Amino acid sequence: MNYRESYDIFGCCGILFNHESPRRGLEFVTRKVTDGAAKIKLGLAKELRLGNLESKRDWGFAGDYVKAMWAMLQQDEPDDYVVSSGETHSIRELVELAFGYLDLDYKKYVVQDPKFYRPAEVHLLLGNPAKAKKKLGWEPEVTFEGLVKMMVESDLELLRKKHGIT
Amino acid sequence: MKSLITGIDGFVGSHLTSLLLGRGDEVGGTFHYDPDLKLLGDLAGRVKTYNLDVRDREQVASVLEQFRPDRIFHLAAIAFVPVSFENPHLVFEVNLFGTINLCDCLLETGLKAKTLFVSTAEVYGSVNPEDLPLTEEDRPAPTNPYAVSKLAAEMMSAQYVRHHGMEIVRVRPFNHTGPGQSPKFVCSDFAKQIAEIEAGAREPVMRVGNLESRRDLSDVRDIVRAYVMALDKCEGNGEVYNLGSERSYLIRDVLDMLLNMSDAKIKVERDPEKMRPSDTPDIYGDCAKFRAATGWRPERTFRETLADTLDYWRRSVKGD
Repeated sequence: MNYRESYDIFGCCGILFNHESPRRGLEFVTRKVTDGAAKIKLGLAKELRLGNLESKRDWGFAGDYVKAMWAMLQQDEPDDYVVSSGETHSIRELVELAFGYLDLDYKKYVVQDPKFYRPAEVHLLLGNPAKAKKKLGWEPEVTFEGLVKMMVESDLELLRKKHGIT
Repeated sequence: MKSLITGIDGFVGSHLTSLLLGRGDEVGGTFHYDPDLKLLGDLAGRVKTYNLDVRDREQVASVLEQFRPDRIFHLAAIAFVPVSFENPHLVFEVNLFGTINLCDCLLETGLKAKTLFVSTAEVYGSVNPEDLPLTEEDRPAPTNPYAVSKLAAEMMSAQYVRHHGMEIVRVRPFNHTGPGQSPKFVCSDFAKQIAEIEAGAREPVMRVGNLESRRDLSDVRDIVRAYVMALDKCEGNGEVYNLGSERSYLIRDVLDMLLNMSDAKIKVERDPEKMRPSDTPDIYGDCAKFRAATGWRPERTFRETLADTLDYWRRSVKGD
């Protein structure tokens, strides 16, 4: 913003809420869950250890978010935008969906481990993408359910290939 | 009480040193720009000093290990806004990473020193006139890299309170002036020019920038007293407090007050070099939160502040 105001640089701030895809690193909770569920489904793991299941996040599909980024740069004037799904879901909902998609009951496999509790956890994240929708005409195409399904399928496929499971 | 001042060689550091020594504190200080410690004058012999570049983490740890402070006043910073446009990287290294180094080294050494982080009211940036006076609840919207670096450091220091239980008080002082301030800042600049004109060292023409802006101006001695009260009375829970005079002075009036203190006949001329690109027209703060927490109130009148600043330059021009 300083460079924009002082030097007239065409710079936009995209304030992106969590955006996920099958390419997410395994240390992030979405991928940890979809990878963990797929491993259990294939008999490669017995449990999945997680932190606080009640934290809520605003998750979207990274592919949708890069479209918003591109759209910001097509405008006549630079501006700042919040990019988010506008929905919030708990880790528990994420787990339920991922395991449910594989016909597994998460309660049998998920262990809450205080080791993964964060000292100063942000309990709720929820963005309002109204400005991006209005000014950029941006609309996310992948729903939360669609995102989880996409990631579970991808992890299942990756693990099958890696371990030669057909 | 062992008090460490980072940036003891600076304008504010010298006034804080004088106050702390007067209270009987054992004072240590780090310097970087002025190894001669000119602003400290005779006080230099009564403090332990360390040559320190806050960007060097090992040096920071070593100073802490040697002096083992009970309290730290973290003043070391690059405070001149135009430098931050020329070299934002440097300003972040010193103002943000210097602060991170200090906090990390405190954790590493296990010293439980209560620390004052000195931010700036510059973090508020562009303000709507209807938001005046500014309270701590007003949203920072910095308009220069210096203010961004201070806001980042302010937020980082709160992280050390949140995650590591460190004892830190954060303050956002508005502009302050007084004897010893660099002539890069407006009041000191005016006073220095007048002193030089009086001594015949300059033609009787003052060169000035924008006279129409209004600033919340305090006396540096009131401000350093507030710094000490902040550590005496505020809990080190990362709260942030405004510090200022709670009113704004038109720079033109500041100039007139100073000119009235001189018998010299002086012409005033606009100098485009001294105009800042994004000058905020008016800014002043509400310090009710700090007053309630500490009972602090300014003691000096602004006239006194300007008179002392002018006298400082008169002595300085004479070479005293």
